[in-house]
Amino acid sequence: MTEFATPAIAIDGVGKDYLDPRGGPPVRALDGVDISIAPGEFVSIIGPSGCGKTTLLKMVDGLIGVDRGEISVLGRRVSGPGPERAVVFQSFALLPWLTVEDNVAFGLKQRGVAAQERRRIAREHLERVGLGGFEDKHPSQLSGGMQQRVGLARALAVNPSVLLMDEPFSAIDAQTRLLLQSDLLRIWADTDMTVLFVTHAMDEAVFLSDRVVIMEPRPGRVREVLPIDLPRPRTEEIRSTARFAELTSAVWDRLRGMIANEDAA
Amino acid sequence: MSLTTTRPVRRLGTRFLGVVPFLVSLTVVLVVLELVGRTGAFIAVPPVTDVAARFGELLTNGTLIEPLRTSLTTLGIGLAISIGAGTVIGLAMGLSPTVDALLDLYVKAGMSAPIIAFVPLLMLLFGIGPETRIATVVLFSIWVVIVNTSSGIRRADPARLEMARSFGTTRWGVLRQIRIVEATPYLLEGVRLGVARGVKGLINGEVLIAIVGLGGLVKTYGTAFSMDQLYAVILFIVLLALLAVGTASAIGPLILRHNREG
Repeated sequence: MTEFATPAIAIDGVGKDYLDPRGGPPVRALDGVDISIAPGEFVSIIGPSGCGKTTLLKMVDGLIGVDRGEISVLGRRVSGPGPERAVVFQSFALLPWLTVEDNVAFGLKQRGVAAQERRRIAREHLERVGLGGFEDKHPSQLSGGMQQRVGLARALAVNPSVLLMDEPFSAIDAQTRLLLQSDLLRIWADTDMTVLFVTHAMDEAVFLSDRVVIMEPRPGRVREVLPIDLPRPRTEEIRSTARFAELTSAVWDRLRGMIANEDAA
Repeated sequence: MSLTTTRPVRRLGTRFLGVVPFLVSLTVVLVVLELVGRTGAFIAVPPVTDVAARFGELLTNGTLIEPLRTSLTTLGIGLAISIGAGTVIGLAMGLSPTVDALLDLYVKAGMSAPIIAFVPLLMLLFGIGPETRIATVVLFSIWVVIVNTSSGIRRADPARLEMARSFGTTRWGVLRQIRIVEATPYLLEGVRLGVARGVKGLINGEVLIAIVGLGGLVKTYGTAFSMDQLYAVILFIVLLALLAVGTASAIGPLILRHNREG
C-alpha cells in the first residue's frame, strides 16, 4: 500500500501551532505530518499524549484549521466539516434530552432528511450496532459501551465514506472494549468505509488496523508507519497468536522510548 | 439491602417533618401577634384576626378591582419588555464575547444598583404616567433575566457543540437544538426571579410615583396608619407575587418544552 490514484485521506506536510497562553513563542503541536490513506483502509494513529493525534483527526474533519500543509479527503481539500465524513467522539457527545433514536438521527436531521425517513434509517443503524429495541431509551439509561454504540450508529447513519474515530473506546471498561472492537471490525467489513482511528491502546491499534501510524510529541510528527499483516477477518482468537504479540510489542518498542523521555522530562 | 428498603420511608418521613417546624413557627407567630394586637399597646401590631377580616373585605367589597387592573397591566407590560429584551440581550452576550465585554459592566451595575434611586430620573423622562411605572418594573427585573440567559447559553458542553458542527449544524441550529435546550433551567430561573423582582418594582413605582394600583392602596392605608388594612394589602401583594412566580414557573416549561432527561 504505497501509491493510490486518489487517496481517501491525504495529509500533506501538515503543521499546527498553538499560542502559548503565557505569551511565549507559539508551540509546534504538529510539524510536517504526511500520511496517505487508501480508500477502504483502516489506519490507527497512536502516540503519547501531546503528540497531536486528536488535533490531527479534528483537522481531517475540518473542525480545526491547518497552519501549514494541506489535507484532502477523496481528492477535495478540507476547509470544514463535510457530508462524506463523520466523527465518533471520545466523550460520546450524545444529547441527553433526546431519545436514542433521535440521537442517531441527529446528523440526518441536519441534512434535512424527512422525519419518517430519519426514523427508518436510525432504526436500521441501531440494529446494526446491536441496539435494536433501545430506540425510545435515553442515553442516561444506557451503559458507557452502549452509549458509544449510539455514537457509532449516529456516525454510520449519515453513510460516510470516511469514519473518524477519536479514542472512541478509551472511556469504556476493558471487557466491553474488546466486544466493541470486534463489532466495529464486523460493521466495517460490510462497507467500503475508510477509518482513521486515534487510540492510545496498543493492542487495540494492532487488532483493528491495516497500518498503525506511530507519532512522537513536541513537535507532533510521524515516527513510523507499521503495517499490520494479520489476516482478515480478524476474530478474538487472533489476540492470542504469536504474531499479534510480536506486533504489539513492536509498537511498544517505538513508544517506550518516548514515554521514558517524557517521564524524565 | 436495608438501605434500599429504608430510604423511601425515610424520605417521606423527612418531607413530612420538614413541614411541621414551619407550621409550628407560623402558629406561634400568629398567636403572639394576635395576643400583642389584642392588648392594643402598639399601633403597628393590629390583631391578626382584624387583618384577616380586612383581607376578606378587600377581596369581596370591590376596593381591589381598579387597583388590581392597573397594577396587573403595568406588571404585564413591564415583564413582557424585560423577558423579551432581556432574553435577546442575554443571548447576544452569551454568544458573543464582544457583546459580553461591551455590556457586562452595565448589567452587573444594574443587578446591584439601588434602582429606586433612579425613579426621579424616570419621572423626568417619562412623566408621572404609566410609562414611568412600566420602566420601573423593567429596571427592577431585566438584569436577572439577562444574566441568567447569558450564563445559561455559555454553559453548553463544548463536546456537544463540536459534535453539532461536525454534522454540519448551522449556527441557528446549534442555538436552537443545543444551547437553548441546555440553558433551559437557567432561562426559567431567570424568568422566575425576574417576575418576583418585577412585582417589587411595580409596588415601589406605584408608591413613589403616583398613588395608583396596589401600591397606591399601600400608600393610602400607610399614611392613614390603618395598619390592619395596610397588612391586608401587603398580604394580598405577597400572594399575588407568589401566584405570578408560580404562573411563570408553570408556563415556562410549556414554552421551552424540552424534557432534559426524558
